[in-house]
Amino acid sequence: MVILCCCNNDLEDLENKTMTTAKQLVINALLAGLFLVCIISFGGILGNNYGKPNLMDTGYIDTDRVTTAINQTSQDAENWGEAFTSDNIFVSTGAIIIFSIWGVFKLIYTSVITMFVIYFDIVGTLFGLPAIVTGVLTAIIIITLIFAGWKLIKTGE
Amino acid sequence: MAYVELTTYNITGPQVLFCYANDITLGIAMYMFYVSVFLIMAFSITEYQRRSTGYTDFSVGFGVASFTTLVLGILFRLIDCGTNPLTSNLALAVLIVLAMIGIIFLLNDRGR
Repeated sequence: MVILCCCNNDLEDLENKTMTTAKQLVINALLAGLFLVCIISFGGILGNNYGKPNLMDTGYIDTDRVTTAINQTSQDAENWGEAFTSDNIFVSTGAIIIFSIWGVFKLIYTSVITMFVIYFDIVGTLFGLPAIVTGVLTAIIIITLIFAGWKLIKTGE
Repeated sequence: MAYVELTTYNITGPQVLFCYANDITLGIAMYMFYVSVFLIMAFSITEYQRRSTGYTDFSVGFGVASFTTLVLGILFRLIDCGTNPLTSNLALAVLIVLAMIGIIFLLNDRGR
């Protein structure tokens, strides 16, 4: 029994060390989008300085969609922050439990799915991936987010 | 059709070596150059990690190599090189996607 418990703890430690949590997945998706926008902006500025304004126009990547998605996520996060701080503490305590967690989860879900759909579109267009591959990957992300939302509502983590 | 020789090539400067090789191979030379730079950097970083720390974290090598290759591709795209640019549209898009995959891989991998 003791051995089993030790093994179980070791497995949990290993899982904690190697698995990415849903929170990190969300943040990483947004950071990757920011990285993409930054590197293309860097190339655009470099091209302008050397008389080549279309240096980063490849015809394969629509960076405007990434920029729009990141801006929308930033705007949504600000709105939720304002809603969180503007309410009376006695009202917001109950409201958080009833409404806010579900709303925050919807925000996270929409943002991450949007970013990953954009990423998969780019990769699919460029490498000619069939729709079923990107569909399966998107489904995995959706399932992960559903369980993450369930955990958020259930435990608040 | 006669081959265009390096001595009769109408570009001066050190970039003529890349431009000449890229033109006569219809763009394949630069693809191979980027692939080789990426692989050499990724595996050399991984091997250096193994020798210095005893374990490897391939995501770091992959991320650094993809980012460096992308910056190299952007800089090479600035060079005027006749008909075929040193970094074609397809090559640049692939390098950008590779860097994006690298950063996602690096951020989501928690290492050892």
